[in-house]
Amino acid sequence: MSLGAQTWAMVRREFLQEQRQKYALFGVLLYVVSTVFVSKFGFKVIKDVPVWNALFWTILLFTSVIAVARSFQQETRGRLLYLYFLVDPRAVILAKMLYNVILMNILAVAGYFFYGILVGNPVQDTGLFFSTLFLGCTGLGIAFTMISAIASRAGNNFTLMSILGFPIVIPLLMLTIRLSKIAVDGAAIETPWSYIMALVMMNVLVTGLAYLLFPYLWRD
Amino acid sequence: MKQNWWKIAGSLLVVFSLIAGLQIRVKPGLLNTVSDHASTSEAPFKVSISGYNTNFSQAENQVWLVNDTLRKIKTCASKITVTDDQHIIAEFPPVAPAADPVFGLAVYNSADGLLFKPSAINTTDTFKAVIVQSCTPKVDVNAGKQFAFPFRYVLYESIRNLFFHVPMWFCMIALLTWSVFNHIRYLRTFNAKYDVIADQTIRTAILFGILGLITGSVWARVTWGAWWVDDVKLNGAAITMLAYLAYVVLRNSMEDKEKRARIGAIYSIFAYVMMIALLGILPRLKGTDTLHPGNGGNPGFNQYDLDSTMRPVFYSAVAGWVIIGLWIAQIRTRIHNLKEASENQ
Repeated sequence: MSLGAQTWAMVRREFLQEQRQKYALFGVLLYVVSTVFVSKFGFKVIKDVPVWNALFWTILLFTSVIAVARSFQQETRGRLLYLYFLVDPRAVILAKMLYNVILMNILAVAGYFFYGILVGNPVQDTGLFFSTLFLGCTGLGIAFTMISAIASRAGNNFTLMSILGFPIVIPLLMLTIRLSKIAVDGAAIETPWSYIMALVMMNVLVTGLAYLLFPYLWRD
Repeated sequence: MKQNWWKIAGSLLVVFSLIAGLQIRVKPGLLNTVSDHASTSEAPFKVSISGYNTNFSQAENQVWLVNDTLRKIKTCASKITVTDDQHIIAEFPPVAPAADPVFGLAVYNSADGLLFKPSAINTTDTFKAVIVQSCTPKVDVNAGKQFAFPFRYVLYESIRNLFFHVPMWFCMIALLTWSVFNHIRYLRTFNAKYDVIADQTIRTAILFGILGLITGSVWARVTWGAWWVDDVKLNGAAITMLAYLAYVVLRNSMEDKEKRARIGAIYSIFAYVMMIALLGILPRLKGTDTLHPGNGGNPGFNQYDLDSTMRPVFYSAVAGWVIIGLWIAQIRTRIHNLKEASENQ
């Protein structure tokens, strides 16, 4: 089978697995909603744009750690060994990334929905905001998939996942938060292409790195 | 001895940069002028001037005011009293050419050359005064030339920190690059030798990063007024340190040698590429201001300030510290290998 076909098969396997244990996805969704509720009780309504923005992305950051950490934790050693004989390791990481990116985007849209209702929605430039949401969540999904793979090798420690992941995603998050602030303000005279391009480049870079490095991580 | 020439060269470069960097004087300059905010129409209008590294009593002084907008109008002091090498009291006739109430102050003598402090004096009652005589002081451009570091406001003597703060970062980046090179070699060959080199080099690089943060923090307190300021480069440096400290935690969390070498190498390569993105790309984006020289606005320091007297000292400091860093990493690698060997016995 070609790499593409293998990846497709692996993505389907991820979705099948998700379908069989729905509680996990709902668990993460519930996590998003409860976090938004906690912020609601803390802040009531947020009028200040930078605070709104920072809090929203902080919620998404922690959501992505929790949502993506599962992707390698849930695999038992036996199952990984079985996959090792069946498919190319690069298909495994590409499929996990694709799946996590889709998952993160769903969670982000849901998070934005609840956050907008409960805490207030000052977004002016909706188109740009959703593009930022897509690019930022894609980046978070990709980066944390790789970090989750590394952390799972080192004993599946949640603390480890955070300390390894945060320094790696901070550049990405800095770009995203800035772009998102432009979108919320809605004051951009022209589309801030330099930020969008930098974000796209960052996503491509992380994907490329994971693609190259994962085969070394995989072998035991 | 033959194969150790680079260690000698490195030590000599560092020793040179330490001695030259601390011993060479800073050029003379005007430190402050009292009577900053004065009513100039009251004659005589007195200004007491303190200089830094100056030789006021060694030669004849000329003191004059230059209006900030009307640059051509110069008003010479009518009476100059030299207290000592660092202090002068100058008396001026009433001045104040209309529009701009701000004056720069110039002092010239043949020992120090021309010293100038822009916007030194702010006057109040411009409307009352009349423009008094304009004079043309005689200035020899070559006077007072000496081999010394430039005198900069805000920086003053702390300009020397350039030879200590900046080389730390150069050294850290050089060491991290060397470690990534070795980690890639490790992943290609799975020879534990390369992993030990890379790991010990990273630990040395962290040491240099901490030194860079400390020297930078002290410098920031002196020049910018705070131990930590919000700046892209500072944040980038801090995040890099966090990533590599995380590397150390990751590595120590595993027992199996082969496994921790492999996973450590993967994380190190990952972190290095992200660090390059962080330090290289982000500060260049539109709308990011940094207080550091090079990009963004900075009142105290810019690229022209690395003048010909500082350049040789700076370059030898950078080269010297990079070599010392590699040397430390090499010694650490050896110690590690010896410990390992004695444990296996």
